[in-house]
Amino acid sequence: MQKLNQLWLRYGTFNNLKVLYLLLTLVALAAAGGAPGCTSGN
Amino acid sequence: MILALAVVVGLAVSLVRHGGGAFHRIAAIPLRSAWLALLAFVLQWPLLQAPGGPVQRIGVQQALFLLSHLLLLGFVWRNRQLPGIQIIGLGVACNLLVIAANGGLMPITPETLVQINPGSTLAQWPIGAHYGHSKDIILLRAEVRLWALSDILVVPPPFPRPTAFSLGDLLIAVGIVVLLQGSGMAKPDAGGTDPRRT
Repeated sequence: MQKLNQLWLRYGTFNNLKVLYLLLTLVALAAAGGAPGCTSGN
Repeated sequence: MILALAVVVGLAVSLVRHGGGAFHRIAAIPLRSAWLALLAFVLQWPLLQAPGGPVQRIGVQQALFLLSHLLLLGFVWRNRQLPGIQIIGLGVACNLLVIAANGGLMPITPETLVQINPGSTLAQWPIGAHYGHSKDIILLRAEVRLWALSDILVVPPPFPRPTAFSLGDLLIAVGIVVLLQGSGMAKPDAGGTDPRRT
């Protein structure tokens, strides 16, 4: 747990969280906007 | 979710081009109304969970799917000034056009399905049925309206997850990679070195 706290203090900056939020938004956009057909659909 | 790879590629290209500054450039992208894209994905979730079968069984999922496109178009409009978003918007529009022209789902032919499902046969894919866990409907090529915009591009095996995708999908992927470069986003007083002028 202490290690997690250290990681959070080091990397959980506002800038990094904003990048993460933006990347997640783009993943959602890609998933929602695209319509690919992948293997084993049935 | 294969298109999510575009985010990984875009991030990788940005890191190669800008090194440690990539995260600052990405964080500086003034994305608006991100909730529209997130909600659009949520609305499509039920369709992506539906197994293959008659289209009549997925009426509600299909309605939510079409509704989600309004949110996507809203998202694109709100962010239209950002580099790459116009390309994404064109991709979304292409997909929406072919989906609307074919009864509300993306058409895919049995021939394409055989290509991405090695070992399957043409007869295995019932015409007019929903292709399970996707946004696709199985149609004969002669029945597909705007065929060129449908799922005709194929990433075949040995790719771990063989996939068929559309021109619209490709445009969306390219737009995401462009957007993640953060071009024109860096403010001059924040150490931006982008020579582009607006």
